[in-house]
Amino acid sequence: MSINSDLDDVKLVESFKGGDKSSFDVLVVKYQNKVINLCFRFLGNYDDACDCAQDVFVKVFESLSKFRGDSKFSTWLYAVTVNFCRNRISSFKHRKSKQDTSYEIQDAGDESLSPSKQFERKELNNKIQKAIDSLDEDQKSVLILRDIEGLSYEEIVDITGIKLGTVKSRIARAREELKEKLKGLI
Amino acid sequence: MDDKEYKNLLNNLKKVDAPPDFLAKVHERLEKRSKLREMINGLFVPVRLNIPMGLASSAVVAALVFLVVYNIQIEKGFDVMNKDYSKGFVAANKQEQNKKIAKTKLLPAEKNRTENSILDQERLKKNKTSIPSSSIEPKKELKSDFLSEGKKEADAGAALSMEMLDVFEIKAYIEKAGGTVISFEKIFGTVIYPKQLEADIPVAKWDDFLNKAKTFRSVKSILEKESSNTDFRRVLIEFK
Repeated sequence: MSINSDLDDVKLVESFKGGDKSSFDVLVVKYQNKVINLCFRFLGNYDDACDCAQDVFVKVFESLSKFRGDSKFSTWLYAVTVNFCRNRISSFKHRKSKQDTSYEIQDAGDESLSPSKQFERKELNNKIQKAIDSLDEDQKSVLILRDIEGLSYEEIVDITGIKLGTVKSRIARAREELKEKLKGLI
Repeated sequence: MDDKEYKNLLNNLKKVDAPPDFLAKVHERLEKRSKLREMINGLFVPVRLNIPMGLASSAVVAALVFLVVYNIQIEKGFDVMNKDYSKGFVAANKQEQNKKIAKTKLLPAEKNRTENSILDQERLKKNKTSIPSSSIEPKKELKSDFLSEGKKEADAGAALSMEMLDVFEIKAYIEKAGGTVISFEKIFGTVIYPKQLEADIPVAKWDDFLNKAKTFRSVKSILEKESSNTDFRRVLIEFK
């Protein structure tokens, strides 16, 4: 995330607090893909991810006036998203062990690739997602934030509230485990 | 799998895009939430009264303590009553049983008497030297044994319940005679089981009242108290 982008976020948040509700729409449009992707990595289902992302933005709308700006808006948004996803996962577990989760991504595919390549890629994606899903909940969170979303360790500390050392060790263990699982799959 | 391969795999993961109507759906949800919130807020209309919180909370605590103590006392009162009533019922049942037993035991004696009377008649017919049937009495001590035992218990049981009725009868009598019941001391805060009664009795009715009051079993003592009113005499009745 660039400094300009962060400054933009501060301005947008301030103008929202000042009563300009349209600045919230700008924030939604700016972050919707990031939030949906994060949700999708956690939940493994596109529809659930969209639903969860909507809940996240509703929560953001309601709590934005209380946002003090101690951290970056994006970090705060990620923290809200991770919490929502984790809650949703625990309610999934409560309902059923995820009713044979579909890893289908509703997209038109990469048209530059041949149909067989597209299919192969889709299969690979599904396998990786399955492997991520099979990780322990704590390991999964830090691994997604670090290796898929590309956040810094400090940001992950802010989002999860875990100590830096713990974050690093969890990521290392998660990587080892994921590599092991992918070895068998790919 | 080396780190490079691992990173490549994760970096090449397909990114998903938000649906085109995502923002509209978020707004839809926000609208629903605001409507719901309005409804909930409507239920809790703020009361604009300045109530001193300390005073209000101590009043609430006092009311709660009073309610708890009052309920405990009432429960105790009912426990005592239940015990007494159950004693009465047990005794009454025993009396019934004893009556039945006495009747059954008396049967042979009654039979004897009947037989005797028949014999008497026959003997009278023959030579007029028969023993009078009256001399062959049934075993009265047997009958009286059972009856007295049953009666004792029945009396004890009935007395307990009658005592309570006596109290109200005395009260009614005083009021009918033009007297005034001043205090009606209650045990355990209930009028069902009074202990003392203080009343003003018209002078003209005083003797009648004393005679009447003495007949009640439940009256333990009758004391005359000083009264400034010359038309009335004050009395304190203690119940057992």
